[in-house]
Order: sequence, then C-alpha cells, then structure tokens
Amino acid sequence: MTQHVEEKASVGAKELTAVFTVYTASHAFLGFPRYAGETAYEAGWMLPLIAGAISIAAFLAVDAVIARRFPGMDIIEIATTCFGKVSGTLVSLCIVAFLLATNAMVFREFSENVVSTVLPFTPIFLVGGLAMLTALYIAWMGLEGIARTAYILFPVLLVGIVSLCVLTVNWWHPAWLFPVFGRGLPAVLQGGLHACSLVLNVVLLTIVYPHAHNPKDLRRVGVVSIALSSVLVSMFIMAYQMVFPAPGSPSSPFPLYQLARMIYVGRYMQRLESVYVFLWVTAALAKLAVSLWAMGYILASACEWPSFRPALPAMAMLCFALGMWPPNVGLVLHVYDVYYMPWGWLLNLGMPLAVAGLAFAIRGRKRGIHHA
Amino acid sequence: MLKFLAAMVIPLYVLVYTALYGRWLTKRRAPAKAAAAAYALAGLSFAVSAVIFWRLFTR
Repeated sequence: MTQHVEEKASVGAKELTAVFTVYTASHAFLGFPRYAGETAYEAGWMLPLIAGAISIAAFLAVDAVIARRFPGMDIIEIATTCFGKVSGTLVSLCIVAFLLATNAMVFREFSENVVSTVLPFTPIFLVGGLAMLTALYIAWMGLEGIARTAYILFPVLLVGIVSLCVLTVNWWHPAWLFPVFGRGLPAVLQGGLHACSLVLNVVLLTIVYPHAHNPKDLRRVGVVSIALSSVLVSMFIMAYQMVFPAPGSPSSPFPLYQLARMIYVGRYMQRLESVYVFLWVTAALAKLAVSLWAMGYILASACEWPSFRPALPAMAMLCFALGMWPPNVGLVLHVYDVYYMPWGWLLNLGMPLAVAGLAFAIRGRKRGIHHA
Repeated sequence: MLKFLAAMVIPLYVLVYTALYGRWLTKRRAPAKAAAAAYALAGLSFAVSAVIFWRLFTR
C-alpha cells in the first residue's frame, strides 16, 4: 500500500536513532515528570525504565515477525495484505487519530509552558501558531529533513539533559528518593505500564521500516533509541526529585524551567534557564514535526495518495484547533492523566502486537495448508 | 466577530489548498477514495477550526 507514496526517503541508522531518541526524551520537558511524581512518588524515576523495558520487549516481538515473515513491509502493509484493504485503512485511521490526539496535547502543553514562563504578555495563538508553522515546515521537508534536524539536535539534547542534572548537584537531597518504591510496587508497575503510552517509538518504528537504509539495522535503532530515551528521562526525573520532593510534583507543571532556575554554581554560573528554553522549544518542535510527518505519511498510504505533503497543512490546522479546544491547561492535564496515560499504551503497543501476532498466525496457517 | 473572520482566513486557505488537491486527484484518475479522503480532510479541518475559533473569538 505504501508504494503509492512517492517520497520514499532512505535514512541511516544513526539518524533514525537520533529521531526516535529526541522524540521520546522530549517528554522530560513536558508533563511526564509531574505525572511520574504523582503516580509513584519517590519511585517516579523508575517509570521510564519500566516503560522502556516493556516497549523494547514489544518492539522486538513485532520486529521478529516482520523480519521473518514480512521483510521490507510496514505494519499497515501487513494489515492490508493479511486482513484486507478495509482493515488496513482502519488500522491507519486509528494510528492517525492517536497521533493527532498526542500532538494536540503536546502542542497545547508546550504553548502554555512557553506563555506561562518566558513570554507572559504574548497571546498563546501567536506562540502556538509560530510553533505549528515551524513544525509544518520541518515535516514538509520529509523524513530526511526531520532526521537531519534530529541528528544535529541530538548531542545538544544529550548535553542539555546531563548538564541540567549535574549543575543542580549542590541542591540534591538523595534522601528524598526514599522509600525506594514510593507508593508501593503495584503502583510503580502499573505506572510503568501506563508510561508506555509515551514510548511511541514502537508504532512509529513499524511505519518507517521501508525507509531504513538497511532494514536489518532497525532492531538496533529501536532498542538503542528506546533504552537511551528511557535512561535520559529517568535521570532527569531522579535529579528533579532530589531537588524538589516528590509529593510537591503535582503542583509543578514546568519541571525543566524550575530545575534550570535552581542552577547556582557561583556568581558567574546562575540563572541559566534562558539557555535551556531553547533546548526545550527545539525538542518540542522536533516532536511535533515527527508526529505531523507520520500522520501525513500514514494518511497518504491509506488513501493511496501519491504524496504525503498535501495532507500536512490540514493536519497541522487540525492539531492547532484541537490543541486550542480545552479552555485551560488544567483540562489538558486531566485528559492526559485520566484517559491518555491509562489507555494510550493499548494503541501504542497493543495495536502493532495484535496486527503482527494475527498476521503471523494467518500466514503460518496458510503455509501449513499450502504444504499439506 | 472581526477577530473570528480574520482568524478563519488560514483555515479557508487550507480548505482551498486541500480541496484543489482532491480535484487534481480526480483529474488524474486516482482511486475514488483518494479524492474523497482529500475532500473529507479539507472539510474536517475547516469545520473543526470554525467551531473552535468561533468559541474562542466570539465569547
């Protein structure tokens, strides 16, 4: 099905690793540290690690099926080949709707963060509109453009997160990480499973299969990007919880900004938040651009369009409008906590696993009948 | 009301752009669902933007 989309970019393993690491690690700057602190208290830093482990296992299972039975095909092509065109279109539309909801939420959260912290007198429409325009431009450049942007951004993000953690070392209180399991092991494990909703690498990796320069490298790309982003987010939450005690997490919606404001390493090394705001904005824009590209690409594949680009302005407009729908950011956080996190993993991990598992069973049965 | 009308210029442009793409697909004898999807996406993005912008700019 995807053979109809002309823009078949070919991207190397390093660039894809950078794209997916930036994509997931950017949650460190959004609402996830708040959610982790609220769900697991002192064990909030464990959630990304648990989610990473579950996501890696799910990705390896899907990857094994694709490599053995459907080489060179993406998850939508597999659904179309095994279950028919209608099912393939349905799978595509479900993924697009999920990405649209994710993007609208990230967009609103990001715009509110910028307006509340650094641009208090600027209308949110202007901040959001410029952000969406930039994301649209990056997505318009296609996967190769996104990959190059992410590849340049990747070291900056890496150095940024590590330096932010290290520069606040004089404020750390390691005792605030105890008791180790916070609200208890069941709550931590459940929180870890729910945190899988944010590791969209699994569903996106199954879509970029035909774009990999060498599809055999994708297993390494998946494992490295999920593991690295989980460790980065976990490290950030750990540093954050050593500076601000976990019970206070629900009342702090801007973790990166708060942590950056705490930096004081002498008279000449203080108040570095303006530096980190660039990092925060760039990472959020890269995330928005990847989601926009993925939505356009999947829609173009499902509708047999020759190009994904004409879908992008309408998708960006939908994201912008849906992001502005909630009257306040509190409602966005409520939707995030009550609907998105507890159920998002079903679509993110469950859908690729179900499609790959059923396709494997059907292909196996057909082969069995054929050999008999 | 004026703010709403001004804000609707962009969704209108997106509607025209996506609908023209749908018309181009029809002329190119693409599958029927390809053109229909383009028109549906154009209509959906315009309608959603109109509802939300109306709520934002006229209350």
